[in-house]
Amino acid sequence: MDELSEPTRRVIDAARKWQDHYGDQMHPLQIRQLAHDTVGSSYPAALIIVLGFGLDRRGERVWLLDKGGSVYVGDRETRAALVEHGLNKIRARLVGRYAPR
Amino acid sequence: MNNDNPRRKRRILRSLRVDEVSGVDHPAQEGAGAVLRKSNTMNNPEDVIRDALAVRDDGAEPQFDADLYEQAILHEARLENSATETFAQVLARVASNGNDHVDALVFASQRVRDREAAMGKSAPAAPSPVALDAERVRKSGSSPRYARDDYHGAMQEIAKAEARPGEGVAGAFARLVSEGRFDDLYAAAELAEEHERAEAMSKAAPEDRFYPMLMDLALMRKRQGETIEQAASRLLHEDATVRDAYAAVNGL
Repeated sequence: MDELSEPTRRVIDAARKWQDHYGDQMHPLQIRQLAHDTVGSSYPAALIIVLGFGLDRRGERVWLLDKGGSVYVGDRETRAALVEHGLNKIRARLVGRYAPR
Repeated sequence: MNNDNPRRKRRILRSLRVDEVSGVDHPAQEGAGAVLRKSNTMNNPEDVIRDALAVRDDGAEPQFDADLYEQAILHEARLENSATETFAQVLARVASNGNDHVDALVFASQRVRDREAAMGKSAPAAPSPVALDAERVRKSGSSPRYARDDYHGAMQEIAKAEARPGEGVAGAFARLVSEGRFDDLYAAAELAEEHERAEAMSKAAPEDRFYPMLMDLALMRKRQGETIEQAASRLLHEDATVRDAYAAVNGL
């Protein structure tokens, strides 16, 4: 079974500490930077877990729905993130680029 | 009194207790001065020096903080004070002339600092200009001079600089958030974003409803290094739905 790695969990923990402390979500660019500086972590996985969305190939935000479609078929950790988020790659769906839920 | 008399032996009083210091109109000794300094009386400098000698010569474990060894160095320098030198000159002299006590104190202080560094108890990095600006914003309530991304970048740099061994950048980031170390930077970043949004909005016509929506969208989707306006411009060029909305609003 796919699982999130320890570095990815650290990034997620930092983002959640941020949310607990400041009361709002960490910006995705910050999460990306934190993951970039955390060797072995998966940015899309952290993003899906923390914010509920990922990025498409152009770096644009995409939102995930609970049925149909497929957004991420990438790395092991991203699949694990989808499962942990209550989705799987079959149920994850790109719902649009304009309207966050 | 002639201090230059070569036959006169210089005496340094090392164990002197002063119970009272009085000022007089005409001092008996020309050039005499009195300096009062506060010091930590909990640790006698003589004890600290004895400990430093043990650390250097016998390999004993340091019993004091590095700061206390360094205070004892200042104490030694004060004992060597003279009317013809500044305190900085005295300090430089005692540090370079092989003073045994000072040598041991420097050794012990360095031993403690090396140990602290190895345990991850390093001194905080000097604040960056962005961090200093965030502190200024908090104290003065004035406008931030940097963009939101700059303040966020400064947080990242602090986390990298202060990451302890085995902690990693993400671990350090989480710890520093909990300790409130980023509070000033966070507040300044929020303010910077508000200012940027207000500035962009000020350029819209008052009756324009599309522009605020476009700004909100641009704020959500702006990329690293982009301003809100640059993101809006990009969306208008790249995004068919935004283009259509713009065309509909403007009757095109």
